[in-house]
Amino acid sequence: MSAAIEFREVCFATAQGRLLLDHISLALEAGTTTAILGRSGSGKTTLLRTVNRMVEHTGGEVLVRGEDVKAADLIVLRRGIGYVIQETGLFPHFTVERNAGIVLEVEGVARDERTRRGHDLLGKVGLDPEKFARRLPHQLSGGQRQRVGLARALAANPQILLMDEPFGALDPLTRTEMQDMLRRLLSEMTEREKKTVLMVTHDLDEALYLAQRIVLLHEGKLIASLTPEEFMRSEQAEVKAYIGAFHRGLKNTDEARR
Amino acid sequence: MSGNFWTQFGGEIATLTLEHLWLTGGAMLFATAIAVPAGIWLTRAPGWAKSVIGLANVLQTIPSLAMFGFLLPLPWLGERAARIAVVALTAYALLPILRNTYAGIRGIDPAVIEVAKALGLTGQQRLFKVELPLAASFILAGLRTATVTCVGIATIAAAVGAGGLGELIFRGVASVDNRLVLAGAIPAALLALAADAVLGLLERWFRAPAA
Repeated sequence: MSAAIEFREVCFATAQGRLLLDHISLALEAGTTTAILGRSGSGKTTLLRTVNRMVEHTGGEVLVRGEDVKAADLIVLRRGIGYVIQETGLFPHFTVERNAGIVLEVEGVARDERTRRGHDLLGKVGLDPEKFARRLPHQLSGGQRQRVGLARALAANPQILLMDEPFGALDPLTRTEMQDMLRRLLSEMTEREKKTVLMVTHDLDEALYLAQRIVLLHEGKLIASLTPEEFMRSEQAEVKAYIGAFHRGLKNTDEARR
Repeated sequence: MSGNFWTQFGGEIATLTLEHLWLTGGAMLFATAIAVPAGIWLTRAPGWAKSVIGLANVLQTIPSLAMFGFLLPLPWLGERAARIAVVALTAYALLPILRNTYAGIRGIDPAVIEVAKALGLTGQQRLFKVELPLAASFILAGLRTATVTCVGIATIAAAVGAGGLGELIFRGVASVDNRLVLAGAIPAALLALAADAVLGLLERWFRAPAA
């Protein structure tokens, strides 16, 4: 398998000289999902955003399908990469179906084809097009909005999907439904549709459930890049600390029961 | 006002009202053509925002009578009083339109702008599909403020002979004829109210749905 995204010694320093990414090297296999974990401020989002050049890295190279992103045409690069963020950023003045089809719209795809594709995707992310296509974003719940955000990111059939804490703002039950939906959606994709997903999350459970590779960042450095099984067995102090921070409540009740 | 008054001044009031509309409308067109693109440009180069909006602010503080006076000796402009009036009114209309265009676009949810960029909308697509529609009601609000202000200021234009309803007011003041003052002031006030109402409707029409 070839690398769909490759980071080579990637650095990012702010204008003030603070190093937010410190020589990150990492290759993401095509068609797989990778979760980036780490504290707030560890550089997760910054790393994710170097892929579509929402952040311009200051050192090293970022390769998308073997091509240096800095050499690529910015608009073409970005249209080939789906992007989902926690705040969704749906266009408030567009209907759900227009939101979903916006990348096709700016690419000049005919309206009928856009509508067909948009409705197809709304169905796949669990929104009945009959019911939702004509609504405006403010008429949707948080979970529904995030579904539209996902449909929009997938509309142009990009090979790469970047997700920045996509479900971070949702309640646990909705989040679980969204994770199920995403997992099913990704697993049902045909060879031609297969996505390489890079996802930033705080949620270890989400990472274990969705990703084939878990990457831990700490203060801009790559601490670990492991499969979920390796991650849970790791003896690395930072990894253990991260795992230890989860399900503390459960441990607490376990102890109380004894 | 007696019937006599109407037969004597009715036609003149109508002509001057039209003139007043022309002066204000022309100034609004010019001001919009300058201030909206300038406001958009400032959102792309926010480093300039403070100084450019500051400059428009200074223009706004020049007393209107003085403004007309300053423009009078200029070549070309000074030849025709209407030119002076339109330029002066344009200068007054710049600030509200400029400020609202800038603030309207800058005030859009940053997540919306971020996604528009990240999904590969070109700068132009982002402007016309996202930024302008979402800022439209703001820009119209600026236009509305500018129009109402300028309908008022345009009455001063008569001082340099540019015509408009101010002419009746000045004449009424000079001849101590309150009927003439009112014949200028009332249509001017009605124009301002009408402009306010129409642009207010447009503004509501273009108001973007909440995020």
